Amino acid sequence: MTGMTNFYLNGQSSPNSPANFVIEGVIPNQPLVLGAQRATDDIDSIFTGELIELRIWSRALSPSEVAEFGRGVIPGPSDPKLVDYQSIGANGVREDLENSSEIFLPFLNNDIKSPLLSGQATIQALQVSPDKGGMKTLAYSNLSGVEFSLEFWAQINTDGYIMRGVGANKQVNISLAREGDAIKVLVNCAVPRIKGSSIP
Amino acid sequence: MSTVGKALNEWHHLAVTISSTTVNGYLDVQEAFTETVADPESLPMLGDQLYLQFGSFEGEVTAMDGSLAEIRLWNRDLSIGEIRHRMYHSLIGNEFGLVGRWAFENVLGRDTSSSHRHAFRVAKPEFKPLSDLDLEPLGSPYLVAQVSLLEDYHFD
Repeated sequence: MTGMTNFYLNGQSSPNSPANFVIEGVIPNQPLVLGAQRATDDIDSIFTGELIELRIWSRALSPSEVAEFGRGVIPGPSDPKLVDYQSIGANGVREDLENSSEIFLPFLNNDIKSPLLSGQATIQALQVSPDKGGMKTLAYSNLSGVEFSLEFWAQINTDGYIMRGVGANKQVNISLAREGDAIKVLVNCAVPRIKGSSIP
Repeated sequence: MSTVGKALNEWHHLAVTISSTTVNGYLDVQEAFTETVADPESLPMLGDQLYLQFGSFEGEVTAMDGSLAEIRLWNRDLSIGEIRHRMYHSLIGNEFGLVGRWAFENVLGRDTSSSHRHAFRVAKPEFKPLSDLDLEPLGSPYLVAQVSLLEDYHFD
């Protein structure tokens, strides 16, 4: 049955074969991604749900074997072609049982619904300066009311303006400076009607 | 508040809350200032057509040299308790009142709140990977909690 891709659901051959979407071949030295299309692209096709008991063989299973596993039969550990066996339902790091030296990253608990991407989407720090520049967001058109809160983490090498909110006619600037033993937070309005203040 | 011993070049958490009557500022979730706003009508101007600029001001004023991480914008007045509770917790993106969250995952300015007000580069800002632990302020007791609370990512 070389060159064929078969798909089973609940141990039975499924009419909804994904064969048309399977790209033949093996991509070496890349992580196996579960629950997303690509580990580095967090836009794509994120699976919402739970996975349990992932098994990988380096051979095609027969329909009768698949039917057995579909009924809950545990594959024998002696099968040399069972290259990876992840009991994903368990917490924590789980090395595969078949000594292929693959280690799955830990997903910290079962409440994490989209664990892979959470673990791999590295949070970055944005480094800004007068020379480097910065970023600006798309404009809002649907905010309402007069109440706002802004939170952020900052690590500052030199004093200066950190952030600015630019409205239709006015803007609010937030800056941080060191003054003796105090760090001074300044909030001011460029068309000044909001008062600035600082830490005493 | 005492800021003795604080160094600018360490990571600090900053929060500014604006209500109809007051502007509050918090540094590392301690109240840094409270200022009564004399003219409440001056605040709604933040609403329509607002956009945010992170660290680049086209030469109008001196921008800081430094780093920013995990910027959150809310369309409501957060209490200090809420700020303290959530500062080490990742957000799902659909929290009540959350209208912007930029954590620069994968070197992108994606807004992972439901508002999708993504940020775009002005000139050439740089990015550096940041582990959760890097945000840990000195003396904080939250080390473990921060590691264990990863978040869901739901992009529409």
